[in-house]
Amino acid sequence: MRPSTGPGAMLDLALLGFVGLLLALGLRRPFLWVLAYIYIDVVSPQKIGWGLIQAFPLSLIAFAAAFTGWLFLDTKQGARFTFRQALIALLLAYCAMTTLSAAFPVEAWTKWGWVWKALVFAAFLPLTLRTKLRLEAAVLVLVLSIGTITINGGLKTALGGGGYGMLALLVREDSGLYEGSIISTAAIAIIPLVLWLARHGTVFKPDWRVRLFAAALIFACLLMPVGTSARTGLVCVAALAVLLLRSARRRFLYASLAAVGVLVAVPFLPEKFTARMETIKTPEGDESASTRLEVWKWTMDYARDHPLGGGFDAYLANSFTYETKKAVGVAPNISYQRETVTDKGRAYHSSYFEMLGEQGYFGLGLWLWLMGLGVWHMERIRRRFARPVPGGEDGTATWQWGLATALQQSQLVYLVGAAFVGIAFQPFAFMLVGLQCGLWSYVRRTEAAPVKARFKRAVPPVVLAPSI
Amino acid sequence: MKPVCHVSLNGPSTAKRYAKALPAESPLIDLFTLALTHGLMALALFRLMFRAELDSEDAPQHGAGRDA
Repeated sequence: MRPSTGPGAMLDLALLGFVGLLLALGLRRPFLWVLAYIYIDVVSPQKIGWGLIQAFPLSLIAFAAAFTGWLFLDTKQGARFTFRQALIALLLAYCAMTTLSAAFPVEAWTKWGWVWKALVFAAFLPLTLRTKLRLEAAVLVLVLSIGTITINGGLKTALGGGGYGMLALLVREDSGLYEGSIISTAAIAIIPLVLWLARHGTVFKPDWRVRLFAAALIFACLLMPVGTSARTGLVCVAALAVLLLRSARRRFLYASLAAVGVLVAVPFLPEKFTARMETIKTPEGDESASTRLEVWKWTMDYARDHPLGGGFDAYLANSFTYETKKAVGVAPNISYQRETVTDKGRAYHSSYFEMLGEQGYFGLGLWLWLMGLGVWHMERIRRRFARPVPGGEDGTATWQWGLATALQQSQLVYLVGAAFVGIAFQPFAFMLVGLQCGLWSYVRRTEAAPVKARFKRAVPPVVLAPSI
Repeated sequence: MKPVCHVSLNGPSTAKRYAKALPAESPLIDLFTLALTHGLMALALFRLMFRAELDSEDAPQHGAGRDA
């Protein structure tokens, strides 16, 4: 830790002042405390600061304020506890059980220390998202909070910085959202939300300044996989490109522009980035990629022996020997060297295997149910609003359709990235789940009686408020 | 054996290699980023303070209809 004097102390005071402002404004509008928690959980200002700010339990203060504010000062009108929130509560209870019998109790309790907060907040958040403006405000703060990291990384990348494990983002540690693969996934996942805000935002109404900022932010997000050299990020970009094709109005134009964009961008990509991306095709040539396959095999065997899961951080039990193949020399005189590597305690490198190893088949099933149901719920909202309405209004122009689409795309990008990084309990992902629950609850409440949706693009009958 | 680097959140797969990292030489980028995003958040929160529909949609709203 550096001394809390000079510029460091000023930074501490500025960050503390910002948090203090958030908490003070919440005295008049308690919902702002919910936004304060989102900000603190994502940005972690206590890690950015150099001394003084680290002495304050900011996350705990913000959560206590958000919860008590909702409990005592906020109206509960329209708040509903949805089925997915019940699933989150069940997952929380199950994780508590596996933690009690964890193979590595000390490490498991350490992880439990932040996982329970993420799950409790995800179950709590939808109760507060009762209005459209609250949904928008939560999306806005989430985007700007992640934007704090991505703009920083984007600028450093654009100025020639970065490299695998070398792009330091505001803090000098690589945990949580400040880890390369995780921030690459999160950065690409928020792009649909940025597009939604640029189109439907009311806090910052869409004009040239908003569109310019949105474009710059998206560019910074796209630079994250480049700056971090995270292969996961590149896979996420490809997934998002396909997903956007589905919701684009002018698909041919979008596909053409995307193709031209790729052709123009490739020559400008740093050599170290393209070299690392090449290892996607030959995973045996890279230790990080090779260990993924070995860890996944080990996890499947482990789950057979421990079907209820080994508790958090059960990966510490693994140990295996494998071979890597490395290219040596310069073309055309390239030779391949085989190297035998013994490794212990390698992380899962996949959220699916993380869930399988730590929470067993039941925990993995619960998690998949929770995530799959989110994709399905957003699809139902999309289809409900895509129908033409009396008066000829285009349903796909509604904010509800747009937000459902954005949240679905964000979650799908996360689920693709999650295949290669252990982020099953990442708070950012559970905030997306919370936003989905909030939107689902809002639409059910405001758009009529609970009748099952029919997924036909029907000729508009005389239905003023069909349900989802 | 390689050092285990998954000591904190989520067990990241990358070890710290910040010896050549940039931020020590680019405090201006850090300060610019923080000022920009925190300024925008502060402005957003200030605007939210005066929006009645933050707490209740029965209150007068900006725009109307489904796309309000």
